[in-house]
Amino acid sequence: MIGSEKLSVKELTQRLAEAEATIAALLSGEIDAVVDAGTQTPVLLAKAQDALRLERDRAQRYLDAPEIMLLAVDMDSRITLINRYACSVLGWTVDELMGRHWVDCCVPARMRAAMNEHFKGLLAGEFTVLENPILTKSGEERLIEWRNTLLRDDAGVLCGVLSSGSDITERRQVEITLQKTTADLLERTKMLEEQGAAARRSEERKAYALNAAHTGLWELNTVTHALTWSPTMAPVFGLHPDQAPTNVQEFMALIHPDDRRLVETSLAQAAVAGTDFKQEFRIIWPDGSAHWIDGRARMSRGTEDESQHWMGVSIDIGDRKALEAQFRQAQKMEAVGQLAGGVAHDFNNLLTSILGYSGFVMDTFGPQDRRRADMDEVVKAGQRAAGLTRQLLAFSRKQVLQPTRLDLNALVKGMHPMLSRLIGEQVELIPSLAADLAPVRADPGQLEQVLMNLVVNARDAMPSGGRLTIHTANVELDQSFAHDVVIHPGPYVMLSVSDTGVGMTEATKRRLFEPFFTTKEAGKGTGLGLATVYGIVKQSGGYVWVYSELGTGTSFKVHLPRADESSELVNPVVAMDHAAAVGTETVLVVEDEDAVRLLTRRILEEANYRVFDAPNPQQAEAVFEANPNVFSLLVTDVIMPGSTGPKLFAELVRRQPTLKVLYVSGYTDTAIIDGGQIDPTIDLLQKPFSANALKRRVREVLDGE
Amino acid sequence: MRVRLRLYVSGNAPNSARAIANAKTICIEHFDTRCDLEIIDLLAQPLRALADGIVVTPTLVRLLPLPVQKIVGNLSDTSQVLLALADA
Repeated sequence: MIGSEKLSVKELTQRLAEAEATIAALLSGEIDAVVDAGTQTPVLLAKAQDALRLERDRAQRYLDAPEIMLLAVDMDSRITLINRYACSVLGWTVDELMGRHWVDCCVPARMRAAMNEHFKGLLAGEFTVLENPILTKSGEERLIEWRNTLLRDDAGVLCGVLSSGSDITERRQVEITLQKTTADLLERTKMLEEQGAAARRSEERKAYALNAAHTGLWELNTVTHALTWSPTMAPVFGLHPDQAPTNVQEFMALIHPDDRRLVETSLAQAAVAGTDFKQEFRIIWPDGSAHWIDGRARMSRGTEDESQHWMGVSIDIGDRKALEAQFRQAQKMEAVGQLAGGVAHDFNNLLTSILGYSGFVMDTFGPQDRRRADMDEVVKAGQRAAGLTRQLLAFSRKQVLQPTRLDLNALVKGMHPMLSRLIGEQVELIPSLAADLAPVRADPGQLEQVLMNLVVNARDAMPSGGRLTIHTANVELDQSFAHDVVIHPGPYVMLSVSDTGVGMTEATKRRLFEPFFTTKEAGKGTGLGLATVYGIVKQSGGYVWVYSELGTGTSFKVHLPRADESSELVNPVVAMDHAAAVGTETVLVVEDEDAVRLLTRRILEEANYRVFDAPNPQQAEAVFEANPNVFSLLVTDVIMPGSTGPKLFAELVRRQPTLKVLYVSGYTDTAIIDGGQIDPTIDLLQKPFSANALKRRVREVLDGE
Repeated sequence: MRVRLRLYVSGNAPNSARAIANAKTICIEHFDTRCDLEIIDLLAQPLRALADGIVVTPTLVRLLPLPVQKIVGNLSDTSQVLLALADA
């Protein structure tokens, strides 16, 4: 179009301006026709214009539509181009902005200095992306991210900057919110983790507590029958956690066959009645042993019937059951003891009469009289009855013990010949006695009874022979020794009798010390031997335990408290000549049982004593009052209606300080005795007594200091 | 000083018609009798385009005062037209 004609710069510039104007007019749609350079005819642009308009509209749409701010500034930051979207963001019209200084007009005042520096950096090509707030007409600020392109003229000279900007205000706010949210989430996650850790610790504590309490938790879905166990359940059932049942059927199989029906019925009843399930029942461990369980459960009903489920606990109550059994056994022993004690008391009075009067009858027969042998049988039977009564009293712990400081080794050695005869030749008796054995405080007669009973029992356990060991030792006991009784810790002396016999079953072991319990054939044993041992040991403040294994043997271990250093060793009893046991002193006999009172009177009268008697303390006082300073000795029963022997003596000795006393009793009485153990210095004659025993004790008391 | 204007148009095409009307209005309102307006329809006289180097219609050429100025478009923006004409 320009051709080869020579043009001045001025002309050239003008032509260029014209060309630009032409193009601008073309673009703005103000052109009708273009002159064809070849034919010099105007080509009408009606159609071309439409196309152009469409093209222009599209270009405009491109410029305006995609929410991109388009901005061109010259080297002085003056706006040379700005699109409609940019204007809508800024709130100005195109005309208002064209030619204005971009920074002064559209950048917040506080940013302007920095922005001018940035602009220099942009022109220097230091960066192309810039993020900065802009100021709208209404004074609002928006955050814009600009992407910048340097504009050069045809000569390549820098002439401005074209920038496309995105309004990222909302995006940035979202980003900030997102960052905050993320931080919050992290924080919450951390908190949750901490809570999780705390929950785990809490779970661990719970598991520990449940384990310690032998308690398991379970849950049962009643629709699917799915069963879940807490980790603490398995140990209660003697199972590995892997072996936990997963449904009701498997669970039921763990219950003792005899108790299954019970559990099923209880569960069904609870489900129907809407009450809690509570049932004690037995389960079978894999090793076949039975264990007691306290099962409790509650039906939890959801909003729909389908969501019903049972939640329950299973508590191992084996220890409690064992304690209950022990308690019942102890109660039974106590009741039997009470009964036996009461019966024995009455028996003693009767036997005293029988034996006493039998003696009188016998004395009337000559040495060759056949009736004397008959009477002798009566006396023997009476003595056996007296022995039984004594054992009953020993078991009931109502006999009177006179404990002394005693050397158990000496007692064993003293009894050795008698025990050897007792056990026969097939059983070997092996004493194993501790050299430095401490003394015990016990009643020697009763301990002989204990040792003899244990030895006889051991012998009977070895019908075809074996070894019988009597062992003594010093031991220290504490609570770790036994769970079933409360132990007073301290020094003890142990006496054990062990055999190599048949041993005992658990059932036998449990009932061992019950009176009248025997495994021997009818007529062979009274069932009182070990009950007597038990009573004597208990009354002496000791313990007796049995260890037994079927087929291997049995060992009884008796533990007796060691004697205080201060207590004295037993005084040897000086045997007295029966003939010498007579006297002329005046004696007051007080006894509420007529037969015994008359017998006592008669025995003493035959020994030349002068005897007054009274059936009760009141009459005794009257007799005493009527005969002042006559009596040398009071022979009185301990337990009497209305008062006691000791009270009576206290009253009488106040009036006559020289009066002496001999108590007669078949029964321990707390009036004179503490815990069934009597001071060895108190004079006491146990019923039933023989005529000789009475005469001897009366003489001893009268002659004593 | 007289103003001499020459307007090239293409018949009654919309922009040409508008340009004619605008040009006449401008002449009457701003230059009164000092303005000569010649209208050349290139559809009728195509060869006339060559003389003034006309590329598109409508184009207004200010012949006087010198230098020659061209204003392309339908002359709707009166202020711009006056500006262009005035800078002579």
